[in-house]
Amino acid sequence: MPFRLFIDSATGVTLEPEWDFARPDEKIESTFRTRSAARFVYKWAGFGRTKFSLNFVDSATQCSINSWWGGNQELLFMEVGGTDVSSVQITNAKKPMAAFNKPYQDLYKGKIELESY
Amino acid sequence: MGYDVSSSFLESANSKSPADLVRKFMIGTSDYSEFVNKWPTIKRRYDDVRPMSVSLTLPNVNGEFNFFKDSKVNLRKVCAFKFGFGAETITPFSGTVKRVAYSGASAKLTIEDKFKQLSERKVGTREAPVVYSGSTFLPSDIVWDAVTCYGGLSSIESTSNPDVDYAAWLEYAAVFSADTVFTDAKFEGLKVTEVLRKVRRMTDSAIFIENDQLIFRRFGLAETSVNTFDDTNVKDISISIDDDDMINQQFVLADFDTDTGEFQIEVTETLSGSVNSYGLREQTESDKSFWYVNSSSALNLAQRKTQTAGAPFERPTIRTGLSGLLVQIGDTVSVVDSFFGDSNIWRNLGYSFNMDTGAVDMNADESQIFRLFRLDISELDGFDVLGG
Repeated sequence: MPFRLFIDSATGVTLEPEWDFARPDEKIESTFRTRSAARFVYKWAGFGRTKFSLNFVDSATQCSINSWWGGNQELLFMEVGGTDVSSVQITNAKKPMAAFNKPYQDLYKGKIELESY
Repeated sequence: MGYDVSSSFLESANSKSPADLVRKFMIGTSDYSEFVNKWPTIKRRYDDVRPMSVSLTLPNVNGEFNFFKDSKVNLRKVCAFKFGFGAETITPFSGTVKRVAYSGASAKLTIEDKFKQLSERKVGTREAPVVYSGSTFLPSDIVWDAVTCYGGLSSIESTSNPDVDYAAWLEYAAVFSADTVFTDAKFEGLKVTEVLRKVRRMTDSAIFIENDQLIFRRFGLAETSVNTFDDTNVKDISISIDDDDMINQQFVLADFDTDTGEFQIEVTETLSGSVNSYGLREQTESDKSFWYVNSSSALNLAQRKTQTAGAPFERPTIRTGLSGLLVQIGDTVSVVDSFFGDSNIWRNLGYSFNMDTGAVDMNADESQIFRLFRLDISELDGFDVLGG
């Protein structure tokens, strides 16, 4: 199932995530239990997270992804054909597309981590 | 007394999982909430008459907070922390910037509340002292003058006063008026906050800031409305009983002669039951800047001090979540606790509100509740007196 990671309608890449695609959204909240074990939770905010692996990515796509990662580019992310568009940034700790897909020296692999902002 | 909020605000504060929690940090009319990484803890006490400050370290990567450096008058902008649910918020803290420290890509702001202004201004000078004489001034008159004429706060005599809770001040004045408590004073350059501290101590009253207003109170009988907590909304409760705070023989020096430098009156109030039970605990209150003009006025303080300190009273710390948020200083609380059982009624005298986690710690006190009748069982000989 293809997804689009893009800046605008003219600038973007189409990605085919592997089966490890996941959306582990997070909450920012405080919790405590009272003396009767009643649980109180104060949810201050939440943000979306998306993680997936990519294989056999061409060099143009690889360059775009790594460049956006390096510049903390604000991006949009959606499933091709879908309507739900998320505002995201690439939040990998290290360069996301940094390895070749054996035996190819012009196709790349990596893991992408996206978070809403 | 409590914040003036709607029933839905109350419901949300008591909810286990309230929706639409809102935290805001405003500088003037601009909202900088998104820059706050860690929200401050706000602490208040009924007797802490000095500027309270909170600090925030904010990201300044794109120079968002350079406007303080570019125009220093921006330090006078009012900074406010707001907390609430949806569109309805309260203001637990508000003040002006005391210090901005730029370091790397961050800016650390230290913000102080309204007491800051009062700590920067004086009442009188050595050459031109401010004198209250004639034995016609209530303590409330003197503090009103101090904060408005000399402290620069609003002198509007109605509930629209933005700086002073006028309704509370009227009640404060009524207490002294009803007891005919009169004072004189001579201030030769004391800071306004120092004047307030003296009056607070010499009248055993409460002076604090809440909702960005200065509040004056002299606690009396327990209100009929008591905030009750129990195991379903209390995280923890601890109770301390301190023998050190006891006073059962209070001396008050009054009628100070500014020419001779001597007090003309000394009154004494002794709580003999307490002396018999706990031994003699004496204290003297006197002040050469602010003093009672006659015996009856001085006795008013002496009696109050022995009533509030004549026994080792319970001082609980009650730890809750947001259900404790709306309990303000002076409100009465009780706790039904599985370990301690049903509690006495206590008065909330201070709190700490952690805006980051929503935790509220209340510091209550049994001593500042005046009951119509208090049976001191220490005066009874023993079970044979009761005929049991």
